[in-house]
Amino acid sequence: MTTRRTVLKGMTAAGGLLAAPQLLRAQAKTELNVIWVGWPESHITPMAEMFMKNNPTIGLKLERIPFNELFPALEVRLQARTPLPDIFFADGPLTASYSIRKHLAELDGILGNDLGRYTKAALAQGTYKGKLMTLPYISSGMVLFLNRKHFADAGVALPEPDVAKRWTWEQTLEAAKKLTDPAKNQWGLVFEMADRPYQALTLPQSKGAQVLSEDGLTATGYVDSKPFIDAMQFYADLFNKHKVTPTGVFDTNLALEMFATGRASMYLATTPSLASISARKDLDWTVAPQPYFEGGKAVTPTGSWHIGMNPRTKQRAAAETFIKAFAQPEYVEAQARLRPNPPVLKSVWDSMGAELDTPGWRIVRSEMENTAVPRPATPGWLEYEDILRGAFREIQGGANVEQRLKKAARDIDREFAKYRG
Amino acid sequence: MTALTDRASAPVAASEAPRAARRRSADPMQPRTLVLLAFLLPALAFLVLFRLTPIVIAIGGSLFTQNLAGETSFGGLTNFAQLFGDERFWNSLKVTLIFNIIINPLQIAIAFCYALLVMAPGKGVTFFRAAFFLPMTLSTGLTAVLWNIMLDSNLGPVNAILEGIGIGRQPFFLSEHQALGTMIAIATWKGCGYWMIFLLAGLYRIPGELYEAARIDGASRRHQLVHITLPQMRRPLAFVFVADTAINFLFFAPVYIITKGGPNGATDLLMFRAYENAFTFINWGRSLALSTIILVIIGVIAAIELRLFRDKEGAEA
Repeated sequence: MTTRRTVLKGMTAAGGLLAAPQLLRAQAKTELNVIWVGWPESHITPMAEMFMKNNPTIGLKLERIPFNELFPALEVRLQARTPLPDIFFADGPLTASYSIRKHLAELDGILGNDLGRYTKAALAQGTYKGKLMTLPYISSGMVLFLNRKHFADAGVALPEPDVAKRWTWEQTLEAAKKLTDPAKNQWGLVFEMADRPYQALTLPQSKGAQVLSEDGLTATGYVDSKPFIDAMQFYADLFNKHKVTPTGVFDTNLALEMFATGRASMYLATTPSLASISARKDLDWTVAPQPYFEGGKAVTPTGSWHIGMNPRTKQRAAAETFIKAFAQPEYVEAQARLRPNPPVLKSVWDSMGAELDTPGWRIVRSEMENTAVPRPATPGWLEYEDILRGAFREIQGGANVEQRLKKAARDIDREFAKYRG
Repeated sequence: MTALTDRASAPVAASEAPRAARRRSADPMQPRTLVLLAFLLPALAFLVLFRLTPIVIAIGGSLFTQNLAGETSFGGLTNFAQLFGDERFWNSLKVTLIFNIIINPLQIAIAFCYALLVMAPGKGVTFFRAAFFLPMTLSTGLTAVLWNIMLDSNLGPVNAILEGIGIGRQPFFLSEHQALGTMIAIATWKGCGYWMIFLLAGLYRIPGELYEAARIDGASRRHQLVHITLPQMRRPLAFVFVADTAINFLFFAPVYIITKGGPNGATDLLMFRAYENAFTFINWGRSLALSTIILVIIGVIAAIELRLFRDKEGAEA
């Protein structure tokens, strides 16, 4: 039975509900809309919480977008030229493209002149025409993961985790031939990013190829140069002639899984795999540096995730606070502890000395100082990467290497025409 | 009192009735048109806003070029001229036409067979109806991911079976010669059940007396199919052909997810090219020009299909 007291209780509750939005509004925070690359939530949420704890008047509305969808999603959002998102994560080589199209606010004035604390490659990728346009946040590096049991079973001596005793690609191929066992569906070598220029470009670079013109606007003569073609022919032969590498493994998770489950003996991959593979207690593994071509030079990939600020943001003060915070060593270190990517701040390499004193991290640190080459600086990175990615896929599938690279060079130059003015 | 008033007013009302009728006959549709319009207005507004406006924007936008700073300027037919001078466009057009020439009749033929099979009464027919329709309930993206895994050259179960029975592993999406066919196969697997439902509805509308009369006249099943079922199915088939053509010209997600237009342009459908131009090559004008070309092709083919079906119907009538 409905009593007067029940009615009063109901009215009070309803009144409370109606008043709630007003109360919330009274305590309203500035809310920043942030597009973050789709890492696992456990790599992002603690960072967001850390920021909001230190800046209680700023709330974060996070949007995690998977790697493959991030770039098209950003194109749609940024091309709309609206104030949102306030902050977004950008792949380092896209800094020039976003800068030219006025999707980035200059950060020089926000961070001051204390930029020498960043690693050289990371800073270079965030800079366009002498101005810092994106904040370097985390970097990347590669190591060669090795399955000890496979090597022992095949009677192949393991390469050492020492950059001075780096294997050549020719040695790696010979080992891969011995390690490949079709009867067991066991492959000699898998690449984490088999179709991405990030990884594959290091092969022609190791043969001395320049992968794009100095001004970043011409591919013909570079992408189809002799050392580029020779290196990619070697790459194609791994898949088609020697059959030591499986075709069609374009999913990074699948490549990792192949190594982790013993379907691949060698796995060339970025540092997040150090954590993933360490978690597989049943796997007996070790690491070695990325190989190079005999007679060539050691080249390893690198590149950073950067943070950009939308120049049209309506929350400029809060966005600047975000940029300043994520430039602090404690944020960079906290992120590096959550996600095993090389830190972009030199000081964090030292402050995390104990954690980074492992064979894998020692290799990465050395590579970042000596062999790491960032992806080419060009305003047309989106087009360059997409067209080369298609070419690399098809080269793996058996396409004629020279013809396919010549076609890729033509296609890239056609798309670059808009940047030449 | 009320009754008196009613009685008193009755003659007046009676005398006004013919006048009202005259008013209606002077403009008999006026009230009805307004009511109809009021009911139609929301639907019309949505039609204009969500169907016609994007089409107008696409056609208009195809005549504009955009610089890197996002400023647009009228470019006339520049985007079309660029496309017509691009070998990749012609390859995409060829691939799209081959894809549609194969997939549309194939899907409809299979859907029609499905519909004939599940129409016949019998035990377990509901199971088959559900089984044929089930792939349609999966999202296109999920279908692409699923078949990409199934047909994976290294870890896919299909290749394990093929190897087990001695056929050997097939590259499927990795082969220039197999990729488009494989794409057609998965699209057909997904789409046939959907079109089956429309055709099944059409089959149920055919009067049973026609078959009964044919049977009395001694017509075989094949004769019944050719002389009764197919002519009676002209309208549903016309709809299914036009709708299927439109959908297949806009086929996109599996290409984006699995092949990215490759290998060597083998699956480079026009829709994927439009997407790539907008989101990778940062050329919205060219992308809208491609959308306009797709729109025109669909319009022309749909008109031809409708005309073919209408002519036959007219001749029969």
